[in-house]
Amino acid sequence: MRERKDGIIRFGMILAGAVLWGSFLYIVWIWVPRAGIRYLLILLWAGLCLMGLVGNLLQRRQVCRFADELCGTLDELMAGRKPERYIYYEDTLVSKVQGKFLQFYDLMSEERRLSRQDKQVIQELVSDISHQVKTPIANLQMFLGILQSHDLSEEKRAEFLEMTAGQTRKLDFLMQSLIKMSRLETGTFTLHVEKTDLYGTIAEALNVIWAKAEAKDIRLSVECDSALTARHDSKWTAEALGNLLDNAVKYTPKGGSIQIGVRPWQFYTRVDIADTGIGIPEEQCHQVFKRFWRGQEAAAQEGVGLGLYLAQEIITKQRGYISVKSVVGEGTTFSVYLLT
Amino acid sequence: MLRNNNLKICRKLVRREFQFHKGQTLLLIMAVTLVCMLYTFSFSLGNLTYKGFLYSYRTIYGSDSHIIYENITEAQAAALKKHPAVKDTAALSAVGVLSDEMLENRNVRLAAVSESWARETDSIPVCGRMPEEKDRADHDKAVFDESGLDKTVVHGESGFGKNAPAEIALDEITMNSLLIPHEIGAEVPIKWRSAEGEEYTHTFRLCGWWENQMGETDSCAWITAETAEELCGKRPDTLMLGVTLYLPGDLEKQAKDLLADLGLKDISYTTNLAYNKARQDYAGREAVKFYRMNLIVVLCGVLMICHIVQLSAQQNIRFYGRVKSLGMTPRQIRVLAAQRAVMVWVPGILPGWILGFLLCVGAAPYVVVGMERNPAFAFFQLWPFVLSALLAGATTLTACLWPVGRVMRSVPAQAVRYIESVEQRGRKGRKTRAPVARRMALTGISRQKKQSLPAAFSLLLSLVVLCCVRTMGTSYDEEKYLDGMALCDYRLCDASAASGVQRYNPKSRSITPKIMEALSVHPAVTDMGQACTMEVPLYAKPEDRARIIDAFEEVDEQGRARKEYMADEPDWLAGYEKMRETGEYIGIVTGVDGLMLKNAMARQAFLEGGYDKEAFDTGKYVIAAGAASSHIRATPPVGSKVDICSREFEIMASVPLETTLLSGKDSRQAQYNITYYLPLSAFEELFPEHGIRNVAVNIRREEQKAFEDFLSQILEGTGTDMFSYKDYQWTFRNAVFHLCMIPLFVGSVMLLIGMLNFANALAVGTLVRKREFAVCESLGMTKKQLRRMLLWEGACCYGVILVLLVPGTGILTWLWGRWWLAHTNTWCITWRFSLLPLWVSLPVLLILSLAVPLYFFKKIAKESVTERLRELE
Amino acid sequence: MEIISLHNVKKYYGSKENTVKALDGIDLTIRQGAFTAIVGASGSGKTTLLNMMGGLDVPDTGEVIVDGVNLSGLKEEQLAVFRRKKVGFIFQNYNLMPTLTVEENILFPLDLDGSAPDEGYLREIIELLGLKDRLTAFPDMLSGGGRQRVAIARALAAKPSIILADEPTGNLDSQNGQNVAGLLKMTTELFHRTLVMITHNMELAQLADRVVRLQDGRIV
Repeated sequence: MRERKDGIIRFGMILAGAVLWGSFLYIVWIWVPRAGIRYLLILLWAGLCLMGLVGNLLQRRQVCRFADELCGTLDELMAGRKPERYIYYEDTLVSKVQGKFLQFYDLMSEERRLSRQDKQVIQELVSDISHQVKTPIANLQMFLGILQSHDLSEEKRAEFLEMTAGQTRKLDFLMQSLIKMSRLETGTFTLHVEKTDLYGTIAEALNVIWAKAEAKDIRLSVECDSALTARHDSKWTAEALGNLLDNAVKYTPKGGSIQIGVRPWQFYTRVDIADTGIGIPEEQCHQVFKRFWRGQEAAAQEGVGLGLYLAQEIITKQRGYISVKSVVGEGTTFSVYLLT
Repeated sequence: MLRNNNLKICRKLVRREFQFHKGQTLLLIMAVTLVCMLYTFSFSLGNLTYKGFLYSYRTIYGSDSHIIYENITEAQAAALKKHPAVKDTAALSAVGVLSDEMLENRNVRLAAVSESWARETDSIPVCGRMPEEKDRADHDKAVFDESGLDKTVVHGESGFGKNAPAEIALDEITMNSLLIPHEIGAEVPIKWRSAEGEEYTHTFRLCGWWENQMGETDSCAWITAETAEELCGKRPDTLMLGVTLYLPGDLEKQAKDLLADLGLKDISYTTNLAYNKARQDYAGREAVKFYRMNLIVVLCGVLMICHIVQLSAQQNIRFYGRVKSLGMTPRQIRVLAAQRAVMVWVPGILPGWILGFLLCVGAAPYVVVGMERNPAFAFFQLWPFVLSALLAGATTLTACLWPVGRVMRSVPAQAVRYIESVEQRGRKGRKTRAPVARRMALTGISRQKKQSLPAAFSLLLSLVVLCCVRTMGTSYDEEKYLDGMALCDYRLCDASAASGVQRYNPKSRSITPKIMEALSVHPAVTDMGQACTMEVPLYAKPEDRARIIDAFEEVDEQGRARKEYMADEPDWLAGYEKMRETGEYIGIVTGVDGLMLKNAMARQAFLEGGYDKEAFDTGKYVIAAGAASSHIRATPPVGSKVDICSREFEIMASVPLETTLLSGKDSRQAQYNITYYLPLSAFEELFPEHGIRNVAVNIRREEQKAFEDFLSQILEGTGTDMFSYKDYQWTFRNAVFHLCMIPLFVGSVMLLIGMLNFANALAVGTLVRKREFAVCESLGMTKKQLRRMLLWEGACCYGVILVLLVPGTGILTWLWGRWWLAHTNTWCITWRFSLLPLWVSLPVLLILSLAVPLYFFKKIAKESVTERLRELE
Repeated sequence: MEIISLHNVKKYYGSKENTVKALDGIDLTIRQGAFTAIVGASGSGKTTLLNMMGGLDVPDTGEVIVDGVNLSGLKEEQLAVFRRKKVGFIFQNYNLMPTLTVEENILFPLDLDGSAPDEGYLREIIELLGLKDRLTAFPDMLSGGGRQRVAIARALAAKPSIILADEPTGNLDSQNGQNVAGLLKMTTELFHRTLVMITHNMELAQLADRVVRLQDGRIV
């Protein structure tokens, strides 16, 4: 249809050109009495027409070349070769489009790389899980074996049953953490980020560790305006804060204190969790958020090294971030930045 | 390659730049306006000069037509009109020429009305109208239209010698020469000669006249076609044809080619002087003087815009560096700069044109003298405007692209560092504290050195130019000139002797006794005198003759006899030869009294003899005047006798002829003459019925206005012409003005530019230290201290300028003046050294250098210190 | 995968006697998508290093290769295009155009390129950086932090693969510094950009994947 239209337009243009020429010649013939000037005018007019024609031709050639070059680039990209990059820095339309193609190509390869990475992560996760699960399962098997094969006194049996229950709890905790982690890693859940009350979230997080802190005689102080809000998912953020608090309670000796401070900034709302614990050496600050990482000093404490990792994942997913400031022996401050 | 389409941002940036920096933009636009004005003015003036010359040639030629063919038939005229190269023709069918001997210096054709010819020669009556066939108006038209016969019959009745004479329209010079009263309906006897050479006299009725714009030497007397036919008895068979061509070029050749194309032979023609190659070249050379001035103007314009751009160079370099670091390509930067130039150029053009044109309108009457319409309008042409706009554009573009080049050569990091280094310099100044104001002022000055120097330079240049012009203007001595040129305050001329081409008609009585009486009793008149002349055939005795012949034929230093210089004046030669052969010559006997007598011997430069009042008053003596130089005595010797109208006079003294004493021209036979002055009483005895040719009057200058009113009142309607010393004054002043005008104008504009630059430099010098001032204030300097510092700074700046300008201008002007004095060859000069422009501009500069920084500081200080400190841009 | 690599880059300033070695043999590679912090005392050549990476300065010896292109082989015009397409620069003194509004400033690199903005993407950036209400304001009506955010938005607008930030928090108080640095880290991570940032603040450097220390023009 469009081709037909173009055809009609072209025909029309030829017709119009002919008419223009005809009328021009006529006018020149009638109104210009001097032959010399008449021919000069015709020549000038013809020259103008010629220039227009040449210009059109040039334009056409340029468009053809434009298409050719783009095709060339696409061919190279499809074949997986990276073309010479200098050409993208010309100030021309071709290089503009080529640049976009290249950007697209880079994005695609980046995505490929990421999905490969995801796969790898899942593999690692599986191996990590299997590794972590191994010990409690072996213990359980051992305890069950003992319970089954030996005739034990009631007391002993109760003791073993208690140990079995403990291992099961640990297994459960591990499984819970792993499930959360895997869901986070693979993105199978969604965070509902909305501007909500921060106070409630902190209270929820405190609920989890209240008893533990009480047990260790740790003072908890919260400094938070009840009217403060931040853009976050209340449930998951409570989980992350809970993990950080749990961590703080764990590494704070008896009689210490934990302070929770909230400072609203223009962009971020900063939640500080400061403890008077053992502290983290500066060179390890980078590593505390790694999966299954546990400091040497922390060997005494029970845990699997997932809490901080999970917390960071959750906060980052909400476009916030966590930073650590710590002095060994004096305490550690974790700062959680949530978008205001 | 298809270019990327990314120039839109440039436009936006430029637009915003202008919105944000309105002051600077306005300044730039003003600069462009000034430059455009300068160009327009000087180009237009050059054009005017050129056109003015051509106009004067055209006036001499007497017609606008390019070629005038004489004596061609109507068929030939029609053929010429149809020729493709011919744009228009104007035909004139002349019956003959006016043959009164009073018109011997002029050529007045008696011709049938030709509107086209009248238009071409500016000879349409302004008083009254063109002659119309009287009967056509009075009688019922139908009567004539029935048959051609009727017409002739009616004509016969109204013809000559019968009750109603035919109508005629004349020009004023002709009327004055023929003593025709300026009254519509007056009966005028006209003597004329037909083409066949027969003389007739007919009486006509005057129906209109016009002033002579053109055609002093060549004019027409209009009669109707019917009258013309009647006078000849037939339709005139030959015409004069004025031809206007499409493309006037080498007119001689074109005239010949036209004839050749039509196969015509033996037709005489004249070509318009205005298109003469040599004359055009001469006019061109005169105009080039103005164009040469343009070189200075261009320099001046470039200097000015460059300066303004350079002042903001730091800002510009930062700007370009910034956009470059953000990824602007060189092409885009160039476009940006060019658009900037265009943005200030376009709004600057129109005001520049208008101002330039207005100036030109003001100056034009002094450049082209004697036009009724303002020459600026009459010779309006488009090309000076187009050219000046283009040149102004080129100037702006160059100036705007200049900082771009600097940015292009450097990597962006350097541009950034450049800014930092500037800021660092600012920081250093901060540390000096204690008696801050003065010390800081000094450091401030040294920092601004680079910026203020160009301003100082342009100031110096402009002041030198202005002082030179002033010195030149005052050195042209008006007193000296008037002493030499104007013999008296007022000179009245008889109507027939008003123009230089008119022959004085002794019968004319336009200066009446009534006028003389009124003058003699007028209280303002201190001195007066009259001169009356009469041409009298005289005889020179052989011995006297020999002395005169010697005077004219003796060979001078250049190896030429005086006679030879007169070779192009055949009438003079004829008169001289006649005297040489026969001793008969025409003497111009001039009766003089009072002031006129004094003037006749104005410089007391007696060649021989001396003036003895008592003896002269007896009426027995005459004073002879003739051509003279250091060793030429072209008069009969003192003591010899002349016989005038059979009365004998003795020559008492001999003086050089004072050519400005009398107006008008003498007859052709009298081109060679000897003038004899004798007392008026003696003249009256000789010629009791005489008219007065000229009256000289001196007045008390303070009553000049009243006297002039009185004069114009008593002279009204007499046709008497008045020539005042003010005319000489005007001529002189005009000439001086003409000489000084362009340099004066250029100098003033340059001074203005220099002042602007100076103020701008001061303003920028204050504004760029905005942050520094804030720092000073935050360190505890009070506003008062800062203000005092700025005052000191201004004063120091002024001091530097003073030290530079005063001796500089003085010495340069003096040197130039000496050179000029040595190279000029004008007689009316008295060396008067003047530095007035300098003295005038010094206080202005002082005010500027004190007020501008304070004003801008006040503007800055409106913002709070913290606000200023925070500002990084 | 390396996106920036410098090989034996040297840059000296000044004349013979008092040469300042701004950079004295730098070898550095930066991975794509990484966040690298450059720290060091003032005068240690940090800014020069960053300028080299962004094509704002040329090394005396050695080569700078960005995304497979040796910068010394680029012509003036190509360098300009490189700067506006490949690199988003955040200057210490913001370098905003005072005559353009916030929105126009953000769109400036795109306008320079003559390309149409990706509306959705830009809206996201503007919202993230909290500039939605200030779009029609002029830079000098904003606070230092505000201007810095505009500069960040501008750096991100043309979707460059590299963001070079020269002490983006230098002129800000620590609170705003944290704000800006966090935004910078967050946005670059979100859009998979490579970020190189100069900073004095160790707490901010901590946010980086890698910290490069400069001393007297050398990496220590």
